[in-house]
Amino acid sequence: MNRRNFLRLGAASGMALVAAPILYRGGVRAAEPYAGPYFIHLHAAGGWDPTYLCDPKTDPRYVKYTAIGTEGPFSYADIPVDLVAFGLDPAVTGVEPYLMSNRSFFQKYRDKVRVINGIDTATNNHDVGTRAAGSGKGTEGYPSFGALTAAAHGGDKALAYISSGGYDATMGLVATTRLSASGYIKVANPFESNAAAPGTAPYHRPAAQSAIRVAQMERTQQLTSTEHLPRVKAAVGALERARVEDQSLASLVIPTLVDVPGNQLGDSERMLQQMQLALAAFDAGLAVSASIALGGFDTHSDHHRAQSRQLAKLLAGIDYLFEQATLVGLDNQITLVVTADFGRGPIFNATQGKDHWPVTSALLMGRGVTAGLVGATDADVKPTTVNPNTLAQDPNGVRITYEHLHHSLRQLAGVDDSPEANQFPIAGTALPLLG
Amino acid sequence: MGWLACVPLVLAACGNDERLDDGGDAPPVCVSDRDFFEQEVWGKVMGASCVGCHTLAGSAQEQFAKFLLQPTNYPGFLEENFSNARMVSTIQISGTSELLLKPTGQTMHGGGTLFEVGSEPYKILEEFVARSAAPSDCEDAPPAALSGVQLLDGPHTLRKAMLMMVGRLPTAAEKAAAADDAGIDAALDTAMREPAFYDWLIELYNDQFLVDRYLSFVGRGVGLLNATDWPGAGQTTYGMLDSVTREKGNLAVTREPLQLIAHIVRNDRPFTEILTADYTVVNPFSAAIYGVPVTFTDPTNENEWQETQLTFSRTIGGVPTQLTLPHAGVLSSPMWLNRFPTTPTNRNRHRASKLFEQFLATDILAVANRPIDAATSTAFNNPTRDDPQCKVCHSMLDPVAGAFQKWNDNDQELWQPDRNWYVEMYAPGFGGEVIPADQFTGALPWLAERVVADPRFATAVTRTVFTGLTGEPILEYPAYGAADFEAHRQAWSAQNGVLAQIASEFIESNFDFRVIVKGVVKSPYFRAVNADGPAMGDTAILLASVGTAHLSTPEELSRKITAVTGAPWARSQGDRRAQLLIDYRIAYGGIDSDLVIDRLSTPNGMMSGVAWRMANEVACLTTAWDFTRPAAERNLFPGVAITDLPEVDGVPSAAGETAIRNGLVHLFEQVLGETHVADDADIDRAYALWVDVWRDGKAFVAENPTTNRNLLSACRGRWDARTGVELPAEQRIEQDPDFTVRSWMAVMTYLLADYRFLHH
Repeated sequence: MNRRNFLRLGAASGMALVAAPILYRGGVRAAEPYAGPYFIHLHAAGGWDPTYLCDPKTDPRYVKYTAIGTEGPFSYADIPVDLVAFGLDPAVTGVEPYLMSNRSFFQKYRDKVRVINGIDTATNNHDVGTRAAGSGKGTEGYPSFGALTAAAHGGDKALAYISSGGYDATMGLVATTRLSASGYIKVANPFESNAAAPGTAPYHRPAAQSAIRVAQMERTQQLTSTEHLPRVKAAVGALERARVEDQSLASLVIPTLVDVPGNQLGDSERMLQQMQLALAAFDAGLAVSASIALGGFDTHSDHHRAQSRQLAKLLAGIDYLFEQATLVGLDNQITLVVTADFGRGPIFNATQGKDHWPVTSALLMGRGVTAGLVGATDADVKPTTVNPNTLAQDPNGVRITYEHLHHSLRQLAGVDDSPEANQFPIAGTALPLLG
Repeated sequence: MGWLACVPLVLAACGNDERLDDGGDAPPVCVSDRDFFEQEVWGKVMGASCVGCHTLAGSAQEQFAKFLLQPTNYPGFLEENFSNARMVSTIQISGTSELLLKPTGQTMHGGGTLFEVGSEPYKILEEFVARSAAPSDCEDAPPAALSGVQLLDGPHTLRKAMLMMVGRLPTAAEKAAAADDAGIDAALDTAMREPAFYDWLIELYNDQFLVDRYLSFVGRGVGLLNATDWPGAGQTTYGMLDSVTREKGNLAVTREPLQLIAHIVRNDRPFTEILTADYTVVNPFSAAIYGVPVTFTDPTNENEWQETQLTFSRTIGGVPTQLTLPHAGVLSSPMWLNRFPTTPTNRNRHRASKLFEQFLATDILAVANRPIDAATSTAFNNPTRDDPQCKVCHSMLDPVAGAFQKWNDNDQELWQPDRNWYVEMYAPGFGGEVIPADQFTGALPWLAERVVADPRFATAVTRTVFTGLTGEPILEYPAYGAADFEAHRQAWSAQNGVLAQIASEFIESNFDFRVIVKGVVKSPYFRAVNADGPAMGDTAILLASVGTAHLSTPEELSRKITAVTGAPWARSQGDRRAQLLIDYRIAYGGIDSDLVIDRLSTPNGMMSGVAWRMANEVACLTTAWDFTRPAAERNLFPGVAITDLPEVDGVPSAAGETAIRNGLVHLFEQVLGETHVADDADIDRAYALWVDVWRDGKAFVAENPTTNRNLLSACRGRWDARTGVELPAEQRIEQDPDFTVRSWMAVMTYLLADYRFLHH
């Protein structure tokens, strides 16, 4: 892991880069940079339609496209990128790179992506589905996969768990960070009046900075020993941990953020920017995991147009993430899991929308993931059952659930037997979902 | 440090005692029927086994069982279940209660035989049946109490409450009067009439309504309005206004449901009017957009709010007709309706679930959640009514959804009185009562009247204020068999008791919102500052949710900075907007009411960086400036001068040290709300910091007096920190030859970054 790689991403920003990470302040040592692995959970908020992506159907009651493509083991809905068909203004140029067709995606990533079809979410409720997709449990009180991995691998890192959407409950395992580019350089160099040029005009002389910090530590020790209420003790401890962590913030360089032409793809732009920031934090060794969401999938009306468009945005985002990760040498260190609240349909409603449907799919890519396809739905988009050992279709087998997926994710991340995971066990047993 | 009011430990079980004998030497305890139900019936029988099937989401409901229990996450579940069980216990077959016959398999029971006649569960139910037939006259035991908790004293309680809600420190007179609860009440009653209080109230409810989403750009909220109904919202009208007027109009329209709540409280109306008001409020700018004929005292004053009813012209049957919206408080607010939209297939169910959540403290999906099986859900023509896995929620949601029937499915705020509802859905209504068809036009006001009459309405408002002021979630009754069950039950009982008492007082006061605020502020959940000793085991569980450990939100911290230092942490001399609300709102754990709607309560490294930045910048902006002011007007340094030194020409100065120490005592009180004496450990530490910084700085100045005596440009006392306006030359402090200003700056940074400054 080195920062130099990341400088390529940030070079275009024109920002002055800090000379060296500030790892010490006032005698307190910040955490060592985290070197991976990294985890990103991308959530299609609102509930995507796998029949429009990786679980295509031919029944005209269920879909409004006619072509189904194949690529290796995968079948996909062959829907081209078409600005007009997507309801986008074709007069706004330069947006095509931010949309990706299913065909392009599977052609490019057929050797990297793993598709799990026929996941039975057992819910039509957004909250329950989002929780289950994020944690493996539909009920409240469970940490997200990202929080779990962050806590287990690097809970002491300044930005250990970054979230800009999706299910991100931590259950107190780790602090959530909303990473924002706004004013970041000033936050990362809080003792500098000119944050862009550290050392040139500090608010306090170095000796004063150390004296303030030492006095704070003594004060914290005093509070820790004299405060007896559990909530206060916990809050004092959390602040002190955050203070130690903040000293490594300067090692993160904010890249020039993506600017998608026009205003039609604002949601894409935000998703891509959050991916950039997550990569920046990974590369700086400050973060372990990130939760990112793209909305717009709750297509109760005009489904064909809106769902196709949002999926094209989502796939372009995945492509962008791995292109950028490759650029900085992190592509083999990142595991990406893509989920949704549930599925949609199967039939169209009166306003040409599709309502909630408890059967869905998940995509996985990156570190620890073997390309391939498992699971299936029948012609009516109902879940089929698989043999728990071979994952072959088996009428006496089991339905794949989010619990199974999270068993596998925990194993892949190496946290399945961690104290954090044991504190929040998932029912059932693991399936060999990830190859 | 003195700021505590020690509270004696309280609470035992119950007073009189005749019935329950634990077999020991202690005299038998008189247990009320309700307590017997909780401890024995619910705790050992129904909560352990019956609730598995006898809930809305359970199999017994599918078999039309009369006996239904509410789960523990239903507000007031114990009282509800006690009442229901009591009623069922009176149903007899051949002289024996069904409550005894069914679980013992003596009559048909879908759940089979659960226990035998004569078993322990049987005996418990037997006594319950007997008690139902001949109710006990024993008093209910009081809720569990929080023992060994030290509370903030009156003045510091007032300080905390006023900083949070009105963004100022109490005056000396207010502090003096706040020696007891009555004094706190009186001071709060006054403070809760200040304009800042209504800003806090708006903030509190925006966390639920999230309508501030429509402030993200000027015109976003107004753009949602139907310009045919309200021509003032159109591009050729609103769109042609100057930018300032457009911004004020957008703010007024967007925050209309929040301003309605503020208006109701400001005018001492029953808080039930937030749902039952047959009006809304407009200011001059939103009145122009809605085209309502309201006369204002000052047509330029955006803070003047008046009641009105929204009207619009339609052509019905070829006849131009003037329609008036049937208002139902916030429920009919165009912004609330847009923020919680519906679709042609959702049919207002999302709105109904939000109504339950926001105004009835009920999470429908948690109360009635059950798995859905895709393989069977297409077996029903009308699954929401006929499929048991669907109707469990829809039987509650759909009647309420039907009350919103006159609003368009796509244009969220468009009211269409001629719109018909869906006959295949559950009939519109609430709580088993059906709305008469001839009242469908006013279905929403009909619903509102019933919602506010439901005890859960008071519970919901109480919970909103409680979580807003304490930052603590509402505890749930522990699951049967959970580890440390009794300790968790005691914690729940204590919190539930406080909340129930406050809700009861709220209802008795005819729904005076301020009663809730005062109740929460005086509760140990707001005032607890420490415990008598280390909290271990069960005590730790009991006290887990008390304590002044609420990390300030960006809004609260911003107000606190201004209140304590006298100046905002502004973006620049020319841009007076608060940095915490513009640059760091999200980074510091706040919300944008759009994509980020959950506040962070645990600090992370980035938030710590923001806090340090704030501490340094605010210390820089306010220290020298405060010294430029006459001593009597200073917030931070009223009793100390920049010429006060700990030593003069190398000789210790007792007078100087005393002045500095006294200055530190004032700063601790002003910034942290901690009362110290000049020679205690905290002041010693701060004094040592001051002197260390001063010695280092003195040597630094000596190296190059011409240059090094100058204050950093941004930290000079050259501008009025309140306004950003330049000070007269003779008043400025731009140099610091003795390095005292910078020593005080260091102390200010130390205090502004302190745990107690960042937390409430």
